[in-house]
Amino acid sequence: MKKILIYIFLLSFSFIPVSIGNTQNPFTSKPENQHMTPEPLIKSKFFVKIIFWQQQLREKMSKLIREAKTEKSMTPFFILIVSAFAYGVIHSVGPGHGKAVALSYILSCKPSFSQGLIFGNLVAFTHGFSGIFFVLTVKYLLQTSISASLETMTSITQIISYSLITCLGLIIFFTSIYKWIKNKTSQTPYKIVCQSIYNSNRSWYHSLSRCGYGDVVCHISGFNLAGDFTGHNHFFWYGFNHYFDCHGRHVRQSRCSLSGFQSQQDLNPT
Amino acid sequence: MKHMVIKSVLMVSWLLFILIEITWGHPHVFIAQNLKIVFDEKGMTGFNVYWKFDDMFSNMICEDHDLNKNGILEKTEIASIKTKAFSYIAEFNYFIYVKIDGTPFKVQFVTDFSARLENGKLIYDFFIPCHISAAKNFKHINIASYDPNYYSTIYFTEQHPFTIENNDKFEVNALIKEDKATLIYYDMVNPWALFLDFRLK
Repeated sequence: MKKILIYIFLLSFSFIPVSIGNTQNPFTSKPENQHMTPEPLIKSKFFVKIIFWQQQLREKMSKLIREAKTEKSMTPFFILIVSAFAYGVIHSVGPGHGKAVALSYILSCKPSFSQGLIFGNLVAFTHGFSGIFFVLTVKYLLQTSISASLETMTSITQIISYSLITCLGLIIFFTSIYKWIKNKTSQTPYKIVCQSIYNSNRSWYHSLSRCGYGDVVCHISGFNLAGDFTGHNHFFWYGFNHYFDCHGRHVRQSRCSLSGFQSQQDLNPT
Repeated sequence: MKHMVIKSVLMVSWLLFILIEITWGHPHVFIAQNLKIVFDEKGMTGFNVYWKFDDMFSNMICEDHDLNKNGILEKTEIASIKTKAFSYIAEFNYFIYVKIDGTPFKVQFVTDFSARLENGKLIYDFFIPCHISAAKNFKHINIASYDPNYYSTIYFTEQHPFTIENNDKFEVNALIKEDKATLIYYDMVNPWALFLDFRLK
């Protein structure tokens, strides 16, 4: 029963749209490269407010950092620590923090309590570290040899990142097949085929249609096939979808043009 | 042992690539705005727009346009910013939507554009010409500022959100509130607007 609940919880993460956020910055992107903001799956003024709260906290933290630097007092530093913790709590609720994938790992590897704790801290550490690492890399590249703008570099970095995630998913998936063939594990070929169909369906639907429809159809087929929902699945579709989302903006742009979205007036609200 | 190494490498790679923060939610650019409404002998001549950007956007623009990294934007750098980080929004009415007695007024161009840095924050300053003669009856002006795609959000500063210049000859009422008649971002957001009424004294 507990396991079923965890599976349901995991599946609920899959309904979170991954194909949003590709709108280009209107200040730095040519109008022909811009397109309409994708519709959020859940429309709620509350989510808009959360983003504002995050922004307010960020502003507060920036101010405190400046104060701590100039005043050389410990008070702003301690307030900064508390603000950072509050920000972390709000921020980590949002998508892109590996909650589902971490749970997948725990489910599939069944670590002990201490191992789980270490894993959780490792996730938090690498999350912060990877951010710093990538920002510094991009900054270094910009300052040395690349003449592209930060905006362009961010886009390129995203494509590279998503491509690597896709590759990792594929490697893990094929490793599983290889292991099954070689070791004749308890995992049945039926399950592996189910996983494969589930993954390919989901990616295919995502690349062709709106996120919500793809999800529903794929989950139905996933349930029907009783696919085993493990970390591998997440790996594959996460990277694959993001990769296609990055490229998909051009497809969607064309689609918008074809459907009559040609002038800015069409974007204007009623 | 070999499998353990492969697993560890895969896990670390995964953590590096998958756990990068991906902030999906809009908006991404936060702009604090104040307006200066300018009058002359006949009525309103236009208004000055002052935008103060958030740290993230300010840093991004500095990185790309403050080429000598001295924290001061020189003429050539301002020109570069105007071309590559401002003019594109002309397509979007410069994010300024004016209604004069309910009739939309299209912002065709702006004048006196300038950009500068104040405590590391980027400031845009520009003037929007909009001539409206005053009459005996009130003229109702609505100035709403928003990015229709909601990539950026524009809100009025808490202190001195607007000022009015040379209005001695006119009776002027001004109020800032949410524009309930306008909805953006899939009907989730009402932009903020300045509601200005004026007539001859």
